[in-house]
Amino acid sequence: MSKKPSSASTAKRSTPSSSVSSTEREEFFNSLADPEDPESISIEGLGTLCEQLGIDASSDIRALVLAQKLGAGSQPGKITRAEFLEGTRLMNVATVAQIQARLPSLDPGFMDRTEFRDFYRFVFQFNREGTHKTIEKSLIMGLLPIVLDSNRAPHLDFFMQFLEQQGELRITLDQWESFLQFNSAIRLDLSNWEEGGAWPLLFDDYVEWRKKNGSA
Amino acid sequence: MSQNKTLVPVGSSGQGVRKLVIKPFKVQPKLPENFFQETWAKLQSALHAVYFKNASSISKEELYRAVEDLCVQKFPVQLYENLNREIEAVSRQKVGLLRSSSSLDASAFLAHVETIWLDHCEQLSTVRNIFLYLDRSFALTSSLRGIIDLGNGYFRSELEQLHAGAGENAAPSGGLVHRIVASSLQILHEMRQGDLSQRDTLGAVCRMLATLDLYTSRFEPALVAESRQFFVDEGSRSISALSVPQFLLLVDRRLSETMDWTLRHLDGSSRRPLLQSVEQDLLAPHVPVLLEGLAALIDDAQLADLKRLARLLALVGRSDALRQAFLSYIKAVGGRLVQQLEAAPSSSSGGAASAKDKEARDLRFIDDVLDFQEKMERVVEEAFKGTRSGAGASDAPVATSNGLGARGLGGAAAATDVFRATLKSGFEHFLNQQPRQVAEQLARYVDRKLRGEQGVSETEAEAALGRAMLVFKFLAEKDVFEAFYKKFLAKRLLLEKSASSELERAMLSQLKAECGAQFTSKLEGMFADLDLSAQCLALFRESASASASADGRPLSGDAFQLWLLTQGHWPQAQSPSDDTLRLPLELQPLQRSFASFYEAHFQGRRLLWSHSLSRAVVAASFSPPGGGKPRVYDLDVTLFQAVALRCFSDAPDAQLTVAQVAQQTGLAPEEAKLCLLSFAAPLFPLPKPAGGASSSGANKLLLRHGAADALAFSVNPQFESRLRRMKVPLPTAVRDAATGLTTTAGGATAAQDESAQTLEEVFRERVYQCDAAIVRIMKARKRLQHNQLMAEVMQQLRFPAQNADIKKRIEALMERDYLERDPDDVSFYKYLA
Repeated sequence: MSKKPSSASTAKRSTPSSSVSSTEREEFFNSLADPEDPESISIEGLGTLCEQLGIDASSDIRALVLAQKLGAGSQPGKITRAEFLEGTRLMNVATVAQIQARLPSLDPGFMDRTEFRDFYRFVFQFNREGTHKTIEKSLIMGLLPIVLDSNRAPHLDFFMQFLEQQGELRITLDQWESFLQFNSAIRLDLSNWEEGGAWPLLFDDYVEWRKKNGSA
Repeated sequence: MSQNKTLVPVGSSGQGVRKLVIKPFKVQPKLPENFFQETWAKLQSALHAVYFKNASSISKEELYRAVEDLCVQKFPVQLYENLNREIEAVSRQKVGLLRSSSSLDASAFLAHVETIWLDHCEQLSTVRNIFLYLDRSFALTSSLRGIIDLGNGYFRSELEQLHAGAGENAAPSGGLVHRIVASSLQILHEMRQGDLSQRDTLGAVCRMLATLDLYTSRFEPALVAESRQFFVDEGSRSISALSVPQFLLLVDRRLSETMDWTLRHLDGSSRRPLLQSVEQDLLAPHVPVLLEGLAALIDDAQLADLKRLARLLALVGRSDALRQAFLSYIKAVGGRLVQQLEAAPSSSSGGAASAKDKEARDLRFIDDVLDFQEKMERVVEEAFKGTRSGAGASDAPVATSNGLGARGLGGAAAATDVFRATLKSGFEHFLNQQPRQVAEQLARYVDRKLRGEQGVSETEAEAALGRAMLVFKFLAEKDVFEAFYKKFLAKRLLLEKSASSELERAMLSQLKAECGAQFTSKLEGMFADLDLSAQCLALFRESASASASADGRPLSGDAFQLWLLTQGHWPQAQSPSDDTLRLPLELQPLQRSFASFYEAHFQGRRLLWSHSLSRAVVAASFSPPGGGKPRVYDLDVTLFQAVALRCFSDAPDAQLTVAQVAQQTGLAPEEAKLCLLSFAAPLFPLPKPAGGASSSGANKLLLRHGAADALAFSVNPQFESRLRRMKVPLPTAVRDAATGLTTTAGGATAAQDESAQTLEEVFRERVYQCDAAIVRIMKARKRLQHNQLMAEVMQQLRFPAQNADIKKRIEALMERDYLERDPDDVSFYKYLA
């Protein structure tokens, strides 16, 4: 059972003087809803929104941050009506322009550690396909460079090379989350790596790969 | 006289009392002027008589008195001085005799020394007796040296004198002592070479040296140095010239002669340094070479030599090295045994022959291991038992004195334990190089014993089973054994191959003790199923005979036997044909009637038929082509074979292909082919046909036609056998006459298939066991650190698991939401209810 991200936005519950009405937000939802399933906004709907905002949904991290802020979380690849209404209420937005104005705040650089961890977990859950609990390696390799940078994840480049050389592979939520932890716990030169630790096997393999390649 | 008053009665005075008055000499009696000189002259002549071994004219008594007189008459100082001079002169003169004996060899020289010394002692003792009064009353009280001391002192100083007689250059530098020491060492050397003739001389000389206080100061250092050199040389010379047992004997001999000689000839003070020298100089440097010889000694079971080796190594504190060598030996020999299990027969050259060899070797394997174990056990018990491990046991040969005895015994027990542990770890090591093959072979071995072998009594079989458990205890992967054991047990029970139910039960209780009730409960379930089956079958027969007539056909319920097996208790013995098999019409009503009987009796239970282990007896009748009486035989076959054969009953003259038979019977094609081939194989050897007569074998039930896809079979009308009832073996692999190759799926033998399949089951079970352990632990602990979880899982698992394997299962359980990683500390897991 995936947990709903402990809403990061609750902290910013500032109530500006001009709050948008629920009708406006309903209308906003309807304009984006999936024609085949009017109770939710699909990836396509989000894509349209991003286009209107002028951001590239396939490579811009703000698209993912926005999806989370808009309330996505319970199901991969979609935002339900209830989620959207709550999300927009918290963001206090009801139009593309209003979101546009908030765009700069969507940079994950603003997130603290816990917020980012929740967001990072959200990215995995949101990108799952239907009932699959794991994500194919190729998609993971697409997501990682979007979500992480060498600041948050010094191991990113090596890890990407490592994944590249692995065969068919699906990544579990545990492996995904552990990668973030791994980056903050294990130095890039692996000098504080200890054998027999709790890290998922994938990271044992990664370390071995690094050592074999002389990159550690 | 003052008492007179009281003594003399009153009134007695006046009478003329006579008084006795003693008056002193007016002039003191004087000794004759020359009293001392005369007496001394007398004594001196007596002395000379003693020294030159002449009879003295004066009795010892008189001489003694003379000495006493002189002492009493205040001449002791003079007398002592005179005697002193006399003794000095005589001692020097006697010792001086030795100087002239330069031409003598060592033994003659020492013999000379001995004679002179003994003379000296005897004469000195006589002199002392004569001068005893002087010795005791004067010398002793005046703190002067006693007469013996005096004599020995001159003797000694003369021996030590360098170049006393300047003219005579007889004594080498270092004086006579030096020569005595050198000669003694030469004698000792000769004794070590085996020439003991001079040992008493040596003994006397050593006692002399000890008496003269020269032993410790002059002799012993040289003795020890010389001995060390000797043993060093002897060691390096002998280690290559002698065999290991010979060398050990040599060391032993050196030790015991050293003991002996230091008791009888050399001084006791030399015992310790000399024994130490034997140990450290003769033995210790060559321990590695001796240990190289260990393998040969164990190979030939030279227990006495091994015992000697162990005892000697303990002396030099090298028991541990012995233990290591013993361990390597076990690992090496055992490793070779195990390696043979692995060595696959080379497929190219004489594949069949070497496969046979391997089979024979595999059959012998457990026996070999057990023999080896028994042999090693004997080595430990009989050769290594008395070994005291630990260093500093150089006084071992005298260990019986004082309290060492008890301590030694305790040490011996500990040593046996140590070597036992070594034995155990050696066996564990090599057996677990091929843990699965060994486990399988062990299970097969136990199976053979439980099936009963020709010429093996039940008692012997029981003993063999007990010993097999020894190997079992060494196994790391006990679950593999258990899986095979279970499989073989099922076969024994279902095919009624078990030799004795008592043996089975005995084995079961042994397994219970070793593996725990969890494992044996399923096996016990198997036995219980058999009992239940018998009861159920009896009930069915009653009801079947009641309903028999209903069908119009008699149900041969009496000739019908079945087992009711609880699913889960028994290893899976399913065949792909089980679901598709169509029983012959003759059997179908029986199957139906039992099924309805069973459902009526045990409601809610599902009945599955497992045909692959079933057997049947088929009556087959062959009509000779030329007419005549048909020949009828009873064929004991598997149910699958029976079903395949049944096809020919409807079409006795037809050729049926494998595909046709498979289609008619519902057998899987591979299975159908195997059955048909079994009938086309010669059932018994034919006598050589006399002069090229018809070669179409009368020993085959079916004739084969065509090959490959077109392979077809027909009844062989010529079949003829002396026996009425025959068992048609379903070969594990049927040799294809056309190609000369063994035909089974994948080219592996059925036994190999069985092994592979069983192992697969074991691995599946392991995954399940591992998951169950993780969940069980986490359920109890809720939150647990990674390493703790790993340790607890390892402890619960009954097979050696790799860390990575367990981790994989942990991750799989996380994926299935049984666990999650603690978001606050990645090294902790949390249980998700």
